Amino acid sequence: MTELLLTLATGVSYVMVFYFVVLNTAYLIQGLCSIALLKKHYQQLQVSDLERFKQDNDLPPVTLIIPAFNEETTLQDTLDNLHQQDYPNYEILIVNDGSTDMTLELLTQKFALRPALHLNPNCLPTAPVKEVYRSEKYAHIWVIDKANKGKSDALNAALNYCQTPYFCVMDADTILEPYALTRMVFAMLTERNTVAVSGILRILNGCTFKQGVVEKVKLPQNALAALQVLEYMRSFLASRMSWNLSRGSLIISGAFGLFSHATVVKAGGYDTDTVGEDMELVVRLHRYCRQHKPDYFIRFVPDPVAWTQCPEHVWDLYLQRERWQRGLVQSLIKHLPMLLNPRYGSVGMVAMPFFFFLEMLGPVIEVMGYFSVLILFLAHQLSWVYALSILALAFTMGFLVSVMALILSERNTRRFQDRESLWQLMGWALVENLGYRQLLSLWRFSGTFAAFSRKTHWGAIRRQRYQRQETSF
Amino acid sequence: MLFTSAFLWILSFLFALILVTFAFAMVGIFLHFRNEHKAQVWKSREAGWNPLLAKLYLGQCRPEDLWPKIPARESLFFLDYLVQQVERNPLSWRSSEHYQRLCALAVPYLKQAEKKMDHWQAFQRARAADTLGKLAPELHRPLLRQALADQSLQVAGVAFRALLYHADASDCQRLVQAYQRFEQCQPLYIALLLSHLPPQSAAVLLVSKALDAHCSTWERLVALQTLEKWPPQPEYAGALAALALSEDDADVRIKGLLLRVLLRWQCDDVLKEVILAFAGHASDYLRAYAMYALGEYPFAQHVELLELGLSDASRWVAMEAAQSLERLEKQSTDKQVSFSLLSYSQHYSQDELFV
Repeated sequence: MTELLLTLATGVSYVMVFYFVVLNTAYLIQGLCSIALLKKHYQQLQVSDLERFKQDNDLPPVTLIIPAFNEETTLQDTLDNLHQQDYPNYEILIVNDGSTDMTLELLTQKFALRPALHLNPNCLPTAPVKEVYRSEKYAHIWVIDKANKGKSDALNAALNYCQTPYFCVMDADTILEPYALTRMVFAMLTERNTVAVSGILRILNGCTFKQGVVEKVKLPQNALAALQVLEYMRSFLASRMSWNLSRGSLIISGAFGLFSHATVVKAGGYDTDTVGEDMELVVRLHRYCRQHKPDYFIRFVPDPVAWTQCPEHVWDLYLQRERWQRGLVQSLIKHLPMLLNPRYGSVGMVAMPFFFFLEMLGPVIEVMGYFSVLILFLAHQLSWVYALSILALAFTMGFLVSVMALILSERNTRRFQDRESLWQLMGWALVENLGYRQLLSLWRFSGTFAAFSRKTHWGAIRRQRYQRQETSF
Repeated sequence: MLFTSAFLWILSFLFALILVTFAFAMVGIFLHFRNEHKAQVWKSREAGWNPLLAKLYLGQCRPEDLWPKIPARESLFFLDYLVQQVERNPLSWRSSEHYQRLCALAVPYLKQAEKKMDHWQAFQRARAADTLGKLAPELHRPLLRQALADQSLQVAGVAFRALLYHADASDCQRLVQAYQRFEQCQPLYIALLLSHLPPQSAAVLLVSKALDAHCSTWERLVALQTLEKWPPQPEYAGALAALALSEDDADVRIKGLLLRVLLRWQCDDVLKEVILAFAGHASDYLRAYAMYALGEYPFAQHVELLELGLSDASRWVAMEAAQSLERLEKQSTDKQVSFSLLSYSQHYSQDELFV
């Protein structure tokens, strides 16, 4: 029995090493691809006359959809920020998803809301809508007040009322850079078959925020937030950019994405049974478009920037990561027939296996690997030299992937301009391998199993007002 | 034995990996320092050039007075700086006297951009075309025309845009012929660019594109969307209405756009016939267009037709009829209502993504 356990533990530990090597090699390849893709993108942008573009009176109208549940703390700043958008033709649709705080009262007072007639074709089933309001002060602001049934349901209600060919989803605590919407629409119009565009999400913690816009970018003092800055950099600049190459991007963050309204409605809107409604929608869009017209494009563009708060407390971060993993697992399981299915092209053969085997099963392999090492250690079967070599290998590969993201940032976006930030980021790139990544794996491991319990709650994450110290978050 | 060889393999791999990681970290640090240096140099250059430009704008000096103050080795950077000034200012600035003065200042430096039009790298050619298009499009029209035929779509696209923003009658034919190259864009984007053409010269070309059944649907939609943005061209209304009423052309998107063009042009003599035909059409897409049009162009039977529309089997048609009735009741030009057709037309379309 003991022998069998030890053999099993040894086998699992080998699988873990193999997984580490494959995962980090994949990340490195993605990073290398992104170097070329980012270069090409920024070159194209350099010769685009966006100033002319945004002055055109006939640009397509866009609806900015903001689902809000108990968002009295942040919604006001978010709406102030939206006034800075330089896109000439947009309206804002806020969905009050049965808030129990003062969200609706705040909106009513700030925008002088009045009940308004607003027809909708009721394409997507949702919880009952109590009332539709329109601002007397700003004719482009609408509020839907509905019974609470979660974010997906709120988004579907908004899709029923949306009357523009494109809609942009954002969170109630997301801050858009003034040109963000213009650049998203530009990306949509300059690639004919584009059905969805994802912008880049950056972390607001630590930045100076003035009159609705981010004025100075600094690394947050909070260690957890600083580690997440590096993580977002890796995820967006290296990973998501590279998916453009195979047209296999499976994630558009729910905090900032532009979609073709008709396509999303035809694909069935947001799924209310998953907590990862953003990912599930993108996977379903792939499925729908592959079946109906194969020449579509779901793309990531790195220049439209949205800023968002990240959790600064361990428990909040746990809730977020556990939910993300649950969403990922639920989305992948729901669309399992796409996995390794050549009918879905690069999505079925590259993107789905990547997310299934590396992102979904990865944490399971990793955590089981740690247990195996523990068993081998307790049974005095662990070769210290061998274990340290493996540890060094994982550590170095992890650091290399982060450094690659830093290079991408320096070459293209360069948001952190002071040397102090560079040294700090390098430092965090080293430190994150000593506990932080392992902790994330553990949380994702628990999220993987929670996904099968069909939990659909989000968990409340603490949020703060951006301007709590007048200018600095 | 197996264990030892695996261990050695891992060790050598690890050693190589550490070297690579170290090299990457160095590259990251080098890039940061290089960017920092570049930013400093650029900042100091700008600090020197900004007062010169301010003097020029105020009319305190002429471009000739400033040329000797720019060292030859910095001339390419100065050209970049001038392009940036154009980009940083709002569009309205480009019709100001300041812009004219800036263009006059740029003249001697444009030779470098001209040279780069033959560069082997497509991006360099595109950048040169962009510079010429922003600082001296009239002077470099022949070069831009040449670039329009460039094998790189990026270069051709920049030239296409530059020529359109400064379009004259002599380029209409060339530009209308060229736009099919940019089929990777949405029709609306190309139509936004083409709308800068002078309508009196280009309308005939675009109408013939719209009427030509041999042209692709994409080309015809671009032509119609451009026509929709222009002031009325009543001489073509008859031909467009005939196409809308014909049974041959089955694409409802083209027919819907035809109605929109006729509505925008307020072609009273043909509109009623087209609306009536669409109101009884088998396609709910066209029936919805008819309901929308009735809200914009009411005539004797509009109430009866809209009431019929309200009980239409298609909810899109019914909604369009309801919105038209509301619009007529309010007699308002509510922006929200005008969005509706654009949105619903996408829902009806069987193929809206790929036009």
